[in-house]
Formats: sequence, structure tokens, C-alpha cells
Amino acid sequence: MPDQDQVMQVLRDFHQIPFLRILLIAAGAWVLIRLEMTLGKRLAEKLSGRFRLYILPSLPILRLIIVIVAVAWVVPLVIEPTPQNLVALLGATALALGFAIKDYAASLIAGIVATFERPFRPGDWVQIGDAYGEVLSVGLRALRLLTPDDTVVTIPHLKFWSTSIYNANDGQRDLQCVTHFYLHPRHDGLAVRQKLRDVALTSPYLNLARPVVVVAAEGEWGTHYRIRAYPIESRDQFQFMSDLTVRGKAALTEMGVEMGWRQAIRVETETVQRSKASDFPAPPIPSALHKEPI
Amino acid sequence: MTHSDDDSPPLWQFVPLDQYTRPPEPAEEKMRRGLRGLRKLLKRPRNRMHDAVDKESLQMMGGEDLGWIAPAPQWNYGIPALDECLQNWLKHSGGTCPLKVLVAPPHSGIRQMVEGWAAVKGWRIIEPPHSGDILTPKKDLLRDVHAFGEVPIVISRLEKWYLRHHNGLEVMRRLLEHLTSRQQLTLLCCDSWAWAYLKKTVRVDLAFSSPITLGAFDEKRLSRWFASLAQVKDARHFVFRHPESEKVVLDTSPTDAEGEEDERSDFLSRVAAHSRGNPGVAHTLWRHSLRLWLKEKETPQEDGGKTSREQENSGSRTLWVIPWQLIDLPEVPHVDDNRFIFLLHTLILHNGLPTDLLPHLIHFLSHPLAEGLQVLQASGLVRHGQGTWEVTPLGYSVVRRFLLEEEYLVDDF
Repeated sequence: MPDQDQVMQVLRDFHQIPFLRILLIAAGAWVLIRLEMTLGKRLAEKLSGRFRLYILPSLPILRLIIVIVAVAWVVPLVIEPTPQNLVALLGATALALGFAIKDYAASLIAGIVATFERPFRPGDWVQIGDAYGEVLSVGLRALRLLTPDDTVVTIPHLKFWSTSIYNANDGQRDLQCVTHFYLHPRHDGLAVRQKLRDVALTSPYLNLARPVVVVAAEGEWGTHYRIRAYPIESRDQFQFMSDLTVRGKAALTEMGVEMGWRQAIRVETETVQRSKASDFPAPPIPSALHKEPI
Repeated sequence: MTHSDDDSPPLWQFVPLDQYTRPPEPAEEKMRRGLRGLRKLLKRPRNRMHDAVDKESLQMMGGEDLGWIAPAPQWNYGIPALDECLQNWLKHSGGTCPLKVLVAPPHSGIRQMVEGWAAVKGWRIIEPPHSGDILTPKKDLLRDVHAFGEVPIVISRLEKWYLRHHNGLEVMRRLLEHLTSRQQLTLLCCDSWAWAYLKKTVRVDLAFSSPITLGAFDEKRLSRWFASLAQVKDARHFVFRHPESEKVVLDTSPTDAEGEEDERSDFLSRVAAHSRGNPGVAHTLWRHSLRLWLKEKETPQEDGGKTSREQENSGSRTLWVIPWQLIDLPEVPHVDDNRFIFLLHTLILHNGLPTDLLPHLIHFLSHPLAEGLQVLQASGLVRHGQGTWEVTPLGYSVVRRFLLEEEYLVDDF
């Protein structure tokens, strides 16, 4: 362990340290970071989606540069920049990181890795653990997600070492949305596929430059159709899927196609459980359940 | 400037769609647009009237003046060129390729030319189905098309045969199937936006090969066209100039006095670039930029050239055109949601829509449709007439650029 004299040799003499200058550098860095965060976000929101996705991802890198420059500026003001002093400083820093602020430091390092590896960028739609949402900001220690329910989730970068990250758009403006339809199996499959395709092709949210695919699969409870299509703006994904769902149901109803029993079976199960759990009589069973089972 | 040079292309010319060449945009204009975007971003509105021009001295022309200085286009003048192109088709490939399609952007007047040509040639014009029939197609919907058997027909508004609705593509599919399975001579005319949309949705481009279009109106064509439109009064021709700089924009005199004494303006090349070669849009911009000079003013030119008054005395009359940077173009209002994008895109994809049909195609907006349309109308981007909403010629290029920047589907022009 270094004694007090050795520590004092690493540091400059107390009266030689320009505290005011250090304070100004720290304050300047802080102001620059705040400006970068505020103006960068404001600028990105004002521009169209394409430009937004160029600006937002560059913000964390800019922030990292500001921090590195500030630290590189301050360190020589505090210590004598000799090789011995630098080694001693690094040793002391490593010790502190290893014991006292291990997780914090790991998050910082993961944040630096994430800045350059870019598994996500601000503006991306990612799923990390149970949280799905748009990346609001990527800080040095943690990232902030905004979920569709308007809840901000802060996830420390430390989590990235051990958790899979699902990125839906990976820096692009659009992302694929899958809209599900569960239909009674007795119907004209070709006509239904064509109609669901038309439902997607006529959505104002649709990015017509990307393909629209309707896939079908048989299940125990009926036929499962999925529309795979891309909205122009990833932020519109829920409105897009709602639009497809509502218009798709209307179109299928016009065709005389019945919806599948999957939801009806769920309703029945829940109804039965609820009626057992209480003494109240069960609500009437949906008429679809009186029909011939699949 | 007013004459057609012997080697210059004809005013009206039809070209294959893939050979359409837009007039180039001057680099200065690109820079100016970039600066305007930056200014908009920083919320500093542009000063519309530059200090050098006394705003009160200039007055927009009234309908009567415009009626003889820049009257409404007579699209019939394009019919001979169309006829030449179509005769070529009928002579060489009409038997093997009975379908011919013309594609053109809104306001370009091509539909009027096609219908005029059909009237001259006695081809039967098939009217588009009623919107209700498109949304709930009946089996005998194509009875009009069937009725004429082998008689040549013209479908002059192909864009009115579909709607962007889940039931709105069926009629178009049936029509394409019918037309491609017969040998009936058919001339079709389609709006360029509908064409772009139908290419993506029903592959209309596979059904009709080699579409043609009206050649772009570049600076030279616009000069000749505007000069020919201006009606000479009292045997005096017009010299169109910018105020203050007195640069000549257009001289309609029969003797070409170009460029010897007077500095020429690049105004018409900017109009051509902004309108993307669309004559209807360019014509509207031209009318929008014409002004009357209220004060009697004689501004001698630096090079000692003739004053405006001297020119008037010598048999010409000077009219004023505001400089390009002072033209007041509409702007798309900024809102946080996409209601204006959807409204504008829906209107432009259908080349206008009746009021009662809009709720069927845009039913999901959180704001009332009428409110959005009124805001767009107040901005000068859309207009309402005979129960139909459409994008204005003045707002057309603005709307196109806006949709392009937002990465929505745009036409090929």
C-alpha cells in the first residue's frame, strides 16, 4: 500500500492544482452534454424520420467524446503526468473499480462497448428482458426505453453482458409488423389471403417499398393467418397493426368468414374458472361455442 | 426567345416514360432550399418581400389582366403531337399491342388532350365507375367495356377505377384482366401517382408495356409557350422583367432581340425545375409571379440600356415578374402527428377525392377530417371545388417534396 507521502508525490502540490479551472472544465463539459442532449433531441424530432435516425445514434458518441476530452484535460492538472504517476493512478483506479464501484464501472465499460458495437441506437425498437420499447437515450451507464404504455424503463448497460437484445429495426426507419388473424377453417383460403393482402396494401401507414406477405398455417383451433408488412415509420407500428386488425376483421366479416375459436375457447375457460371461484352464475356462453367443435 | 429555333424540339412532344427528363434544378436553388430548411428548423420565418423591392409598388394581376397576358392553357394544341405518336403506335404495333397507356402528373393537361383526341377520332370514352360500385363491386360492373366489343375505346381516367380501400382494388384487377385478355384497341390515360401506386399493388406496369408521357417543359419550351399564350394588344408585344434588376425574363417580340443589351434572368429555368417539367404547374407559377407596377418608374440600367418607358414607346410593354426568391409558395403546416401526410397522400394518390368518400379511406384519424382539410386549404395546398378536394397546382411541388422527404410513395416524375 502506498503511504501518504507517495500519494502526495502522485498528486500535484495542493496550491498548484487549479481548482477553478477544473471546475470550469467540469461545468463546461456538463453544459455541453446538456446542450447536446437537449438540442440533439429537439433537432432530431423536428427532422423527418430518416434524418432523426442519423442524428440520434450519434449523440452518445458525441457525449463520450466530451467526457474523454474533459477527463484528459483535468487529469494532468491534478497529477504530475510522469509514467510512474500514471501507473500509480491507473492502479488506484483499478482498485477502486474492482471493489467499490464494480457494477457501476462494468456498466460504464458496457456502455462504451455498446456505443461502438451499436446493438441499439436511440430511435431503435428493442426488447431487453421483459421491456419492449423505443430507445430514448443511451447514457454512459444505462439506456432509457419508452414503452408503448408511456413508461420509461432504465436498463443498466451491465445487463448486456448476459442478456439477448432483440432489435426490431436496427437503425432503419421501418420494422416488420406481424398482424394475426384466427379464422374458422371452413373458408376460401385463396380469397382470404388476397383480401388480407389488400387490407395491408391499402393501409396509409404501409411502406410500399417493402414486401407484404400473408402466411397461413393450420392449428388445432382453426387457421392462423399472419400479415407481415412494414409501416413507414416505426413509431406507427401499433397504429398500423390496429388499422390492419380492424379493417381486416371488417373485410373478413363482409366475406362471411367466421373468426376462429381460439379466443372463444379462452373466454370459455376463463368463464368456467370464474364461475367455480364464485357463487355467481356464469355469464352466457358466446354463441360461437355452440357450434360444432373443430 | 420567342421563336422556336429550327433545331429546337417541338413544344408538344410525347416520349416514352422511361425517357422523361426533368429540367435540372440550378445549384443555387438547391442551396437556397437547404437554407430555407435550416431557417425553418430554427423557427425564423423568411422575409417574403426583400427590402430591395418596394412591396407596395407591386400588385398581383387581376383575372382580366391574366386573361390576356397568361390565359388558361389550351390543351388542344397538344393533340396533333399526341395524334402523331398514336398513329405511329396504330400503324406499327396496334395489331400486336392493342393497349396504349399515357401516364402524366396531375395538372399536366394530358387527360384533356386524350379526350380531345378521342372526340376527333370517334373513339368511345368509357367513364369510370361510381365510387360506390368500386367499394362493392357488382358482377356486371364492366358492362360498358364489354358493350363496345371490338370498337376502340378510351379510358381517360384510369386513376378513378380504384380506391385505396380493402375493396377498392378488385375492380382494377377485373379491368386489367379483361383488357389484357382481349384484342380491343384501348387507349388509357393514368395519373402518375395512381400509376406508381398501382404498380406496387396490382402490377399495372406488367399489363401495359411502354407507357408514354408528355415531354418535360424545360426553360426553352416554357419561354415559347408563355410567349405564345400572351395576346398582343395594339400591336405591342410584352417584355417581362424583374423589378429593380430589370433583368429580362421573357420577351414576346417577333424579332428575337435576345441578350444584346439586356441581362437575362434564369427565372424560367427555376420555374421549369420547380414544376419538374409539368406545364400546368409551371403555368400556375407563372401567373402567380406576374405583377403590375403601380408607380410609374423609370429605372435606368447600369449599362445605359433603354428604360422601361423607352421600351414601351418603341412598341413593347413592360410587365413585371417578381424574382424567384420572393415567390410565396405554400408550406405544409407542422404538426406532431401524421394527419396532413395521410390527407395529402390520399388526395394525391387519387388525383382528388369527393368529400363524402374521404371518411371511407381515412377513418382512423384522431382529428376531424374537415378541420385538417381547412388548415391545408388555408395554407394553399388543397382546394375544394364541385364537391372534390384536390392538391392545388401551386402546392403540388411542395406536397411532392414533403411526401418524398417523409419517404412516402411518390410518382416517377
